[in-house]
Amino acid sequence: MNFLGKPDSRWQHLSDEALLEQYRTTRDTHIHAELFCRYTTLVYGVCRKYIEDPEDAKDAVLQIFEKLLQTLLTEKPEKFRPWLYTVTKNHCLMALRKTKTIPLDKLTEPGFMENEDKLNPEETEHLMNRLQQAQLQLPPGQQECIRMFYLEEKSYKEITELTGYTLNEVKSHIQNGKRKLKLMLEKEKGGDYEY
Amino acid sequence: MNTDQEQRTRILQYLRGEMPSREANAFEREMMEDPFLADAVEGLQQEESAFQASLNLQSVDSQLKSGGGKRTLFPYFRAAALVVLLVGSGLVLWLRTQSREEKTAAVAQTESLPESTETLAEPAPALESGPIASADPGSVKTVTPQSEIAEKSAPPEMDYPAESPALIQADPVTSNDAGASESFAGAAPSVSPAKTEAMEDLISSPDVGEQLLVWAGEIPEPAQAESLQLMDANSREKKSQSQSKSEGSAAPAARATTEIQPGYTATVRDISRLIRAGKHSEARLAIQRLEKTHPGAAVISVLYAATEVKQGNAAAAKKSLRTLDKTPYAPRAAEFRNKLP
Repeated sequence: MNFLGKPDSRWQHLSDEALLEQYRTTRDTHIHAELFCRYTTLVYGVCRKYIEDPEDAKDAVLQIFEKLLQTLLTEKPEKFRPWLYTVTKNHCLMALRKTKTIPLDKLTEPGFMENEDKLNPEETEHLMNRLQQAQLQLPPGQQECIRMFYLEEKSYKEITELTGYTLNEVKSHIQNGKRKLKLMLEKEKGGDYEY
Repeated sequence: MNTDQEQRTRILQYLRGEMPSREANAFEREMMEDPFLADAVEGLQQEESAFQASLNLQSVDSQLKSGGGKRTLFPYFRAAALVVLLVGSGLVLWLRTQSREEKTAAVAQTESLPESTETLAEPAPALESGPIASADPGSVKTVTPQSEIAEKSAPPEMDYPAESPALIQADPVTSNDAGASESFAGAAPSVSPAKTEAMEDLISSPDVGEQLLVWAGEIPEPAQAESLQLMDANSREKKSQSQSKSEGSAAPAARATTEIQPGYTATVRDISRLIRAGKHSEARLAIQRLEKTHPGAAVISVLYAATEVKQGNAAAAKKSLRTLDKTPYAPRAAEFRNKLP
């Protein structure tokens, strides 16, 4: 970042990985800053999720920033963004381990579980094509939410307003519905189970 | 490629609930696929408010910019220094447009400045008080130490983060100063040191303004048919209360807001409270409203004069007082006019 805090025009168009390569060769800390600052909001957000005190969360961001000055010189992640996410999460979990036990609710929410049900792009497309018919076979709550979320493209907020379900209920209906649909489609294909 | 700023704007917009439903749906589906985004949004949701989130993020921005070394105290010192500078320079400009009659021995202007800067350093962080005149004598005692003032008024490097929250807060102060200096346009040009000092007295010890407010409280309700209609049983009780206390500063505990209540006496008391709180534009509006229901009432002129004195505008205050010349209140009004510079 230049002194105005705006992304530097020299590097703006470079990909994360290209920028990383630049940093590794030149060791120019400005480049490191430029790269990191593309993710300030996300990194702070993740830290703030695991660390309750905003000041401590801010400190964590700075610590990660400084740690990466060295780490990026030695490690060479293939894709910067997911790697940064892992590094951030690990830093937060380690920091928490020192103070208190990891709050369990952070790990067992719908969001966490959803990743286990993640469909690859092919499956997702297949699912979307068949969704109109397939969702009819779902139990009422799931059917409602899946239909409104995927076919009618309504937001969680709107769905809660229209159905009266709570936000968490909507999320789990969608999650469970997706899982059921995936199983249904796999059964059709002839039992290509992925566990 | 989404820049961090765009990402931030989007997330905050979503968290504020200001995204249209379809866009929110797309954002939610993106979050399903992207755990980094999902976690970040979840984390920012835990902040007190979207505004607080944006403040914290800006704080992180500036800390990263300054090499990621310094900690929290610094941005606030810089912000406070900025505010003090702005208010201080506003004061200097404002003083320059004043003309005062010579009363006391000349005092160097630079000497009087640190005093007023000290008085201002207290209310500056709060930034609720109106223009300078509202500083009461009490605040001089709770002044910040001289050395800190020196540091604040001459900051070595000031690199302002692009959107400093303090800059946003400083705006009301500068716009108040602008407003004050506009009303002074047309006042006599140069200000001698003695006049400056007398002006200082007017600002820092609002005796005249306070006395005017006391007088306003004592003026009985004008005997008009309209006013009798306006007076409800509520204010009739309060009228007897207010006559036994000359200063309405100890408002009844139930009255916590600055709303204008119906009823003449209560209204005068509310307006006085607004003037003492430095909320001069609200006070003016209220006085105008009162004027509509009680045209020609003496108290109107007194209230106007009081708010003008509190704002340091002696000329306007005298003008308001002069409107009482043909009334039984003329002698007392003349007394006040003589007290003004």
